[in-house]
Amino acid sequence: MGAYKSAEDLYKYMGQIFALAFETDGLKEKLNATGVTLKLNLTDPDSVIAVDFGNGVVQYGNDITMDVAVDLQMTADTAHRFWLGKLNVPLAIAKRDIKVHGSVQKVLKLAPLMQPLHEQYQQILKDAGLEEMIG
Amino acid sequence: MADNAVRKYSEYDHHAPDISLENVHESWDTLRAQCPIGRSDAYGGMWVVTGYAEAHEIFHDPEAFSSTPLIIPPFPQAMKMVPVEIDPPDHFKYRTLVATPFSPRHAEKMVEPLRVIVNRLIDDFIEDGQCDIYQTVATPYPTLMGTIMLGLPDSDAKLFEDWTHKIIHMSATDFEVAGEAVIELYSYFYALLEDRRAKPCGDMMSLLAEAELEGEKLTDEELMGFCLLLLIASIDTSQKAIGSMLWQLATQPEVRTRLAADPKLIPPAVEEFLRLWAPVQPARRATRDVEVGGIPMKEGDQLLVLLGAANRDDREFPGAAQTVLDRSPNRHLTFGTHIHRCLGSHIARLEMQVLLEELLRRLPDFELQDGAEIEWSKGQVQGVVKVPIRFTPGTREGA
Repeated sequence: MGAYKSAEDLYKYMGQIFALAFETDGLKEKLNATGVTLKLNLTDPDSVIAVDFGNGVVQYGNDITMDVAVDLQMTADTAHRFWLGKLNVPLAIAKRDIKVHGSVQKVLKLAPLMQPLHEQYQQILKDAGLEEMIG
Repeated sequence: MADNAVRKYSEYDHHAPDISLENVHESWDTLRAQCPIGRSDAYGGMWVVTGYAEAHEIFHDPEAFSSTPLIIPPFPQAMKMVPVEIDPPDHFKYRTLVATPFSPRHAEKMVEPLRVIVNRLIDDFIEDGQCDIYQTVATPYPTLMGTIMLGLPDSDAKLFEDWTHKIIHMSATDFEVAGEAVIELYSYFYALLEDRRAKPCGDMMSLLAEAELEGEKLTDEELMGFCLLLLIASIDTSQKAIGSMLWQLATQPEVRTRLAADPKLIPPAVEEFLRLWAPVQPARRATRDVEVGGIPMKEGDQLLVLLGAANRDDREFPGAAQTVLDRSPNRHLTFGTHIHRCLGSHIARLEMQVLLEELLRRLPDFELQDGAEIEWSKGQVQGVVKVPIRFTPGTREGA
């Protein structure tokens, strides 16, 4: 069993971090400037998040209507470790823990921008009483 | 004074587009004359060290000056290069794992393989009477040497050169391209290490795959940190040192003639070329508030230690700008010093000595082509990267 027990929980907490990203002055502009659209196809639990970074739009599961340029496949645990700041993205791609369909360069452009959010993701989990997920 | 020479520390940026062979040393001399350490505004602010004594002091205090990050701005690998970016007390444990293959005794065993490589490379162009010797010798020679040292197929040499170039020279300007090269490099070595775990064959990769620290196998992060450093350090740094040395020999016939006539001078001459053309300009980070050369620094401050400038400090090397083939003492800092002294220094010296012995035997009159355009590679691994030469054509020696 991974860190997340249901897609609903995953959407709730990862959703908060995306919302925070697009509300944070300075970061929002940097994310918009990338213009990247990507989809996170996660397993265990099965879940899908689509993000249009250019317009600050996030969609989940069956509600996804946008077309994206980059598809990423990974376990929900891998995505969770990324948000905790415990994942080396280049190594995860090299080991195929993250499978990238589309431009790897776009992923590499985004990943470092998320760095300021790692602490806030941990805070979101703490606030929800989920310290055990932080490890 | 050369156009575009830097006159103020505040303006110093090692990646500035107008740095060239014509102004790089003049800039360093101008800055050092003001103060051996100064403050640059580049990359969020950094101390730039141009003095020998100050660089020496910083390198001899790894407790106060961390070697992480070694690169400004950092490479995209998002993890430490091992062992150079590991601080004490752990550093020694990692370094010991790979020390034996780089020892002077092991390096000596490489002399004949080096000679074979050099002569094979010379055979490829000696009948032509001209070439860009950076492309024909300085580029492939360290790569082929690196493949032997690391147990990698030489058919992949071009891949290694491509990744190394992108990671070292494009990280500051094209982060995503450099990052993609890091991923390709990791993918390659991850698969190779898997193979060596299953079928160890006594080479460097097998050594790493089987290595243990305190009873535990190395993590993937540690292994990739080793692979990244071993590859880029064995290739790019030597290429630039050799390119610069060959440019100097191609433009100073009196130096070349003297060495050709007296090969016993080659070992001390190589030390002098290393002093004059230090390719690596490493970074450090202050781990606490500290003072060097009367300059107070704050915890977290980053420093760029210009070893090339330190090596041209007249306070340590009288007549530092002059080439003194038998200079003694010659305590240059090209390989660093203290705990992070370059593991590959013994093999690098032999590479350059064997190259000079064979080159001066077979192409004793090589000189720069008239009107030749020279290229200088800037950044933290510096050197001459285009050396078009002409020479009296010779004959191939190989089959």
